[in-house]
Amino acid sequence: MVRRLAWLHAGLGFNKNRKKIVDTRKQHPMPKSPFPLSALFIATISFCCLYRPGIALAQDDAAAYGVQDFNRRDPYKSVNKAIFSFNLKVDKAVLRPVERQYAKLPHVVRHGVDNFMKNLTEPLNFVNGVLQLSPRVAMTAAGRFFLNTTFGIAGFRDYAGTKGFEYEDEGFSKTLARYGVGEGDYVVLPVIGPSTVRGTVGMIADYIIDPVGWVATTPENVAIGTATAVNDRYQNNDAIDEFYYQSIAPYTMTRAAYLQHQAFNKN
Amino acid sequence: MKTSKTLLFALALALSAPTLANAATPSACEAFSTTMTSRILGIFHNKAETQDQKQEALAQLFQEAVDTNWIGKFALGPYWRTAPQTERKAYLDTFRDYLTNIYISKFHAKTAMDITNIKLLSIVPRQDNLIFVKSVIMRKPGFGNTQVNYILKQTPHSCQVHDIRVAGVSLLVTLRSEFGAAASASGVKGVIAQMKSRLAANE
Repeated sequence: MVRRLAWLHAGLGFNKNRKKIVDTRKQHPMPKSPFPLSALFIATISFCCLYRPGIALAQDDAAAYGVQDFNRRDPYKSVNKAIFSFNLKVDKAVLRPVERQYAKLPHVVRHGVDNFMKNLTEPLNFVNGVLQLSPRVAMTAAGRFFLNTTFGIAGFRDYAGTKGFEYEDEGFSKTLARYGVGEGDYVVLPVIGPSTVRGTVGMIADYIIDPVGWVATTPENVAIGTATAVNDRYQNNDAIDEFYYQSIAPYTMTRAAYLQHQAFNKN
Repeated sequence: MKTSKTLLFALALALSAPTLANAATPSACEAFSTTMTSRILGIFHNKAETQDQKQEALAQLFQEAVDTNWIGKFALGPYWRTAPQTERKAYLDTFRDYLTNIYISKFHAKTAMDITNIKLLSIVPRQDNLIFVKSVIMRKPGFGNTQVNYILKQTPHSCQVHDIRVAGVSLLVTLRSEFGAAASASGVKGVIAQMKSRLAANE
């Protein structure tokens, strides 16, 4: 948009210069005047610019409300869109039906599973707290893990939360952000969904450094992964349904919401 | 993201619309921000009403408090200017129903009951008669809190909600992106048709 505005300004500036050229030509007539062609060129460029949607954006108060051009963050759009379509099919065929069945379980069970899954991420939160050189984050994660694993009946109850130690999701992506690493471009990962370059790197690093992953056997890791997928789909059900099935432009809406949320959360 | 459920709740921050009438000063808008929280909590925690009754009340008050016409125009951005009058009217009528239906239909009584308080963090009047409000929705221990910011527009005769930002996700920015893409692909007529299609599917 800025570039287009610059073009427009350049066009207007050229217009002024053109007057000078015309004046000069009056004194020194040329056999063939470039004026009609220049005028036509400028008029065409100006007309096109003025009626381009991007230019019109600058005319309202879009900036005051923080409107952004998310296309700039999405250089792999065609690939991302293809993966998004695939994810939509996977969600429709597998995740959504499973989530609907899961939602029929009693609230206490679903809440317990959510607590249990969160408790399993506390060792990873602790590691990232250490890497962030944040004693508060590390100690909160360690304290929560101890309290919830013991008094919280293996993590099914968020005992620490009732004592004021709220859960904090501290992935490696957040650790990278802490050290000033930018989010990078927007990417859509198969099955997993929207992410960024930093988010993808962070997710791989989390997989490697997660202490639970070291201790658990392969079948246990598969079970944890499956339970996490179902629980996450349930926890984010309203947002996913809204973005995937109720939006009139699912891909664009998901991207806009995700990038805004990431910028806010810095993870 | 607990965005969606919270967004619903945040949208309902507009519930005290009647108090907004003739609220033409920043202080009146500030008063609106402080009083609406208790009113919303009252509706959410009202055990005498059924979920359907609450949804209906929310939808009605939402339309009064939120400037859906302005949001609709903003969402369409440059495509609004080139749309014929007939399309504009049809678009705004459908948009109002679409926005209300999509968000209010997500009202979950259980989720609302988890909310214990809405704490106002700051109310800052800024340029163009915009008032930026920061708040946090507080839930029962273990359920997590969510930051909700919203923008009020102060006009000579009223004060209306222009944007709601739940956990950093702006309703306005997201709609602008979504509707811009849809209008670019299929025009305003196409946007209207898609909204109607979603509304029909939601019923």
